[in-house]
Amino acid sequence: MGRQKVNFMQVKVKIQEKIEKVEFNGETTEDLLKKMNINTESVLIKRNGKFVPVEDKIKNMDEIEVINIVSSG
Amino acid sequence: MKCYSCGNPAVIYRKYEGRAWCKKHFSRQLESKIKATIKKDKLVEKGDKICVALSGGKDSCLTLYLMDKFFGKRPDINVFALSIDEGIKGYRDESIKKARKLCKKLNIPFHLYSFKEEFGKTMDEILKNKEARACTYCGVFRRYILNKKSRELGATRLATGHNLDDEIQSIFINNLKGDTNRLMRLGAKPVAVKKDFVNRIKPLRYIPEKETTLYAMLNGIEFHDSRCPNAEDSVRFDVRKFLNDMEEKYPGTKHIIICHFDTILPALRKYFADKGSVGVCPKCGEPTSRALCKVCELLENL
Repeated sequence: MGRQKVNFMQVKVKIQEKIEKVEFNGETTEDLLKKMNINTESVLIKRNGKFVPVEDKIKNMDEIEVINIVSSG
Repeated sequence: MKCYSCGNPAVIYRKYEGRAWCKKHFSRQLESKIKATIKKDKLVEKGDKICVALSGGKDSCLTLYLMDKFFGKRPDINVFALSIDEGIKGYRDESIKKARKLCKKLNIPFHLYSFKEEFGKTMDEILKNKEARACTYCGVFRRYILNKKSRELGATRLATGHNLDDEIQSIFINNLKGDTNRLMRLGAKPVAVKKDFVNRIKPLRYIPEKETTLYAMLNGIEFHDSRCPNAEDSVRFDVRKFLNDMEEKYPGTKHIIICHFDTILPALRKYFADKGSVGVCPKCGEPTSRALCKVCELLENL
């Protein structure tokens, strides 16, 4: 039985003009969003200022911006 | 992740497709998809005058931008924009600024109409002494002005910014409410039931909301991104959440729903063809399937 790899990370998350530090266990923005209970379909992600797929790997201390998709009317 | 086409850093990974794309190839792909929809469903034809219903939000701004990009240089096709000021302070005034700015940038004629001019009251005034549901009044009044004014301006097509998410939410809601008539009216080019109805087209119908937003942001299209203060956490809100959860868990769900709907739509329309004849409202003269059109009925209640 191999031991499961634990990947703790801390990133800066900007969401709705607020910035907070989030610690989580994972490798990708998708893991981070899961921890924050955010559906990946309802947001776009910028990593260090650039749009990236949520499946992209992130690094410790990366700056992640979560952009909510607003349904206009 | 790397772009499937060129190997540059990707901006999006489409789980439903299994491919990642860079800015250039994502934008090119999205445009091709929309062009294919326009061609397949004959949304735009020679000699058309396309009126884009422009709220200033991401989807309507994108629709205008692309209609101009695709048809702006065609001498036989006209593109212009129509905005409606419902009179919602702090919201619509801001989005109209964006709408006007985009039209100026693209050099597209901009027409503005208001609830105040058409019905004598702003949306804020309507809601002041009413327990009315804001979206009922707003939606009915808006659709009335859109159809009437675009027709008066000579439009042969009324383009709206409905995206894949909007469309499948409507399919679900009409099923939940058992509203067959409304269900049949959905489609990339809903059937114009009478000559007084301007034919509506939805060029973004197969594009997920996430992708319309990404395209607009990547390509520098400025839009207004606030939620209407009167928007209720309605059935649509719950359906949107449910469908996003399903898509996340089972990628491709949204596309499957719309493709299945498109498959059964012709049969639905054929089966129910004789139901719901359209006449003319005795009060305002606009087309309606009711004794008195919904606008006149709501106005009587004000």
